Amino acid sequence: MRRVEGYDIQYDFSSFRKIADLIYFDGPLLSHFVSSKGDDYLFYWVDRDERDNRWMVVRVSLANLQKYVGKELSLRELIETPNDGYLYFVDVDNDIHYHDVKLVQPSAVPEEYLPEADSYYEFEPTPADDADELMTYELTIPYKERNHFEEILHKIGFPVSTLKKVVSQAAIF
Amino acid sequence: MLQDIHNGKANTSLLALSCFATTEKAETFYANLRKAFKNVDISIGDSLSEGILSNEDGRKTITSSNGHFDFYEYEGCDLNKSFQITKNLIAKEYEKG
Repeated sequence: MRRVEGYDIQYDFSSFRKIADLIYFDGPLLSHFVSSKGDDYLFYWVDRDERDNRWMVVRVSLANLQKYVGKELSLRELIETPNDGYLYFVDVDNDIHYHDVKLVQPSAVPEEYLPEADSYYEFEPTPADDADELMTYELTIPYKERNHFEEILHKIGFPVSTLKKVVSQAAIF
Repeated sequence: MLQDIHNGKANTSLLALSCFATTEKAETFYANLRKAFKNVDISIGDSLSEGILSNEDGRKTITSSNGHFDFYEYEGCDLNKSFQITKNLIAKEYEKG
């Protein structure tokens, strides 16, 4: 696989939970995960060799993710504007061991690792088996109001992740 | 591919043969995949193979709206006899640097 310029870091993805496979063919190629903090990430497959599959990991806003699924944003636009301002790369071996995690500037991503400009969503998402609980917050708070809603929560210092758990538990009971 | 094995969420789809009900649907799906993943040929190949499946060959999953289904071959099934490669699906406008 080609070398990607970036900073070697330690990052633990084990707490991430899958919401859905957005693109799937003989295995997931683009998947939506949430971190333990409630942040939304995309795992985007970019390359492989005989030992590893390479994934680009992008933190995205749920509003932009919905725009992508709604064909208002291309996958390229989504990836080129990560919430963090940078991207992660991680190699995953056949035993699902994550290694060689890198922090990479969007401008340093090789062109062959980026989608085409017209990479609009033409697929069907496959929700994870246990996604209902995780998605309850997303279903409860309308997408269009969420950014404003979460901004207010951040201003008053209320953690969004806690709210997600409360809303999910309330829906379950 | 990234299976959710650590959370006990792996499935058997990787072991099935991915098929499409029609040539057109297969080509459309591949073209859309290529827009999203320039290296997708490294993972799933670059050629279209066509043929007819019979009940004696194996079992298929329900065909989805995009025409895709998984096919699980029975032991002894030999699709080399009924399928042949008909087309290379890679556009040549993009060459790896």
